[in-house]
Amino acid sequence: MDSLLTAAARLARGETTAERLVSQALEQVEAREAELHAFLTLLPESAIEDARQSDRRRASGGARGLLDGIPWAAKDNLLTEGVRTTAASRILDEYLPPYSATAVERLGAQGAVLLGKANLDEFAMGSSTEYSAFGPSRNPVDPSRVPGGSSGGSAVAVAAGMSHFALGSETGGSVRQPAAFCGVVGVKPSYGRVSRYGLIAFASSLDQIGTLTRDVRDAALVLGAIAGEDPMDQTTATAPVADYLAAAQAGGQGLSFGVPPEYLQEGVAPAVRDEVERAAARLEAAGLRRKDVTLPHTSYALDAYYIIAPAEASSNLARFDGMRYGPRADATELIEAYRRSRGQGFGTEVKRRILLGTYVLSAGYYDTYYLQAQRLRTLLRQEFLRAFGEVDVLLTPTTPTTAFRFGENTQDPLAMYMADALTIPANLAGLPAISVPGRAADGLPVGLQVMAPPLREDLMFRAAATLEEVAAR
Amino acid sequence: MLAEQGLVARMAALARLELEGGEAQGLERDLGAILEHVQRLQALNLEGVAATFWTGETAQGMRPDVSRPGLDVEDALASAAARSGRRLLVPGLREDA
Repeated sequence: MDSLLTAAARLARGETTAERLVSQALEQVEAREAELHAFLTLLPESAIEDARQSDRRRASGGARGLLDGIPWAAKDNLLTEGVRTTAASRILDEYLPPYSATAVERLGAQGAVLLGKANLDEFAMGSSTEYSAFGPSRNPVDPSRVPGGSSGGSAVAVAAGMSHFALGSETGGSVRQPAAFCGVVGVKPSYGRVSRYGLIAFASSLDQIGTLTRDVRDAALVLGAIAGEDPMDQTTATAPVADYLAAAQAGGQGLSFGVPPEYLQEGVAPAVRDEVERAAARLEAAGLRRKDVTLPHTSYALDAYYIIAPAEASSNLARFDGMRYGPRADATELIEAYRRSRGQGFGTEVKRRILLGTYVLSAGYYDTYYLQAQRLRTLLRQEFLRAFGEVDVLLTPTTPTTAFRFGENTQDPLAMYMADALTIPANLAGLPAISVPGRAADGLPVGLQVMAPPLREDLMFRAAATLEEVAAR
Repeated sequence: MLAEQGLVARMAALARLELEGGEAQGLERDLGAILEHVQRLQALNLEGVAATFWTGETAQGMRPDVSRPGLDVEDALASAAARSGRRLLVPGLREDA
C-alpha cells in the first residue's frame, strides 16, 4: 500500500480515484481480516459512498486537501455518530453515539474516508489487545505474536495495508507500543495538543489521541489535521499548531539529542539496546549532535502510572452502570442493578484497575499512594525539562522487547505492564513522542522513540524524519 | 495491605462491582503484587515536592457562560436501557441495600 502522501499525490494527478483506494483497502481487509482481526466494525457501504463524493468534489475542482478521499480507521474508543462504538467492552456492545469526536469530525471535514472501527484492549487498558472483549488482533509480521496495545487494531490496519492511516489513543504508550511491535510510525502528541472531546475517557490527565501511519511525513500530515484548540475540550492548548509536514521535510540536521542511560538498563533486550546505539551513531553521522543527559527517576514512572491511571479510571468508568448506555442486568433494586451490570459488562483487567484505583483513592491511602505518585510526576517532568535545556530531543527504545507471544503475559499483570515502561514517562510529563521503526531484530520490528519538549512536535518530527531515513539503512 | 482478607470485596462494594465466583481470589493476588511493586515509591523522600495533577501548557480559561444547543433529549436517551417519556427509568433505591 502506498503511503498517504503518495496516494494523495496520485489522486491529485488523476492516476487513481478515492473509490479505487477504498476498494483496494477493502480487498486487503477481505484478504487478511479473518486472520488478523483488526476491526470491530467495518463500514464498506458508507466508505464507498464517501469515496464517490470525494471523487465528485475533486472532479469539480473542490478537493478539500491532501486527506480528501484517503481511507482511514478509527480506534473503537473514538465516538462516531450513529456508528457502533464499543471500546471493546461488553458494557458498550451495540452503543450508537449521538455525536462524533472532534478528531473524527476534523478528518471528515477534510474528506478522509472512514473504513471502520479498530480493535483495542477493553477501554484501552492493555498492551496486546488480549483484553478485548471481542477477541485479540494478530501481528501481521508474525501472527503468533501480539500486535501490542491498546491501539493494536489501528496498528494492524496500517501495517497490513488495510488502511492508509489510523487514529489511536494513548494513556501510557497505547499508540507507540503497537507501532513499535508492528513496524509502523506512532505518535503521541503533547497533552492538550489534540482535543479529547469524544474520546471515551480512561485517565483524563494522561489521555491523548495519536496517529498510526506508514511513515513520519504521513504522521506529520495527520497530526496537523487533527491538532489545535477546541472549545469542546478546555484542556486543549491555545498555542498555534506548527507546520509539522514542513518540519518533517526539513529533517533534523543541526539538532542535538541525548540517549538517557536509564532507558537502556536491565529489562531492555540486548538487540533493542544495540539498535538504539546503532541509530544514535547514524544520527551523529547525519549531522545531529549527541550530548549526555540523565533522567534519574525514570524507573519510578511505571509505579506512579499504575497508581494515577487506575485512580482516574475508577472515577471515569463510574458512568458505565447500565442506566444510560449498554445492557442492564436483571435487578429490582438500583445498587444491585449497578453492581450486576458492571460485573457482567467489564472484563477482568478493567475490574483490576477499577479496584486498584478505588483502593489508592480511599481514605487512609490517598496520601500514601496517590499524592506520592503525583509528586513523583513533578520530579519526572522537572528532569525532562532540565534535559531539554541541554538537548533538543531524546532518543530511546520505544519498548523493552519486541512483540511477545499470545498468553505470555496474561497471567502476570506486572509483566504486561512492563511493556509500557519506556513510553509511560512521556505521558506522565505531557511530552510529545514518536515511535519510528528501526532495523528488525530476529525478523521482528524494533521501535525507536524520539521525545521532545512540550508542544515542540516540530522538533520531534524533524529528528524523527532523519531517524527514519538513517535507521532503515 | 491488600493481602488483608476481604479487602477486595470491600473495594468492589465501594466501586459497585459484582465479582464472580473465583474472580475475587485472583484479583486479591494480582492487586497484592501490584501494590507491593508500587510500594517502591514510599522509599523516596518527596517532602515539599508539589504534586502535578495535570500537565497542560497553555490551556484555555473558562469559556463564556452563554447558552448554546446541547444534546437532544431523544439522542441522549437513545441508548438507555429503559425510559419513561423524557426521563431515564431506573430500578428503585432501597436504603438498606
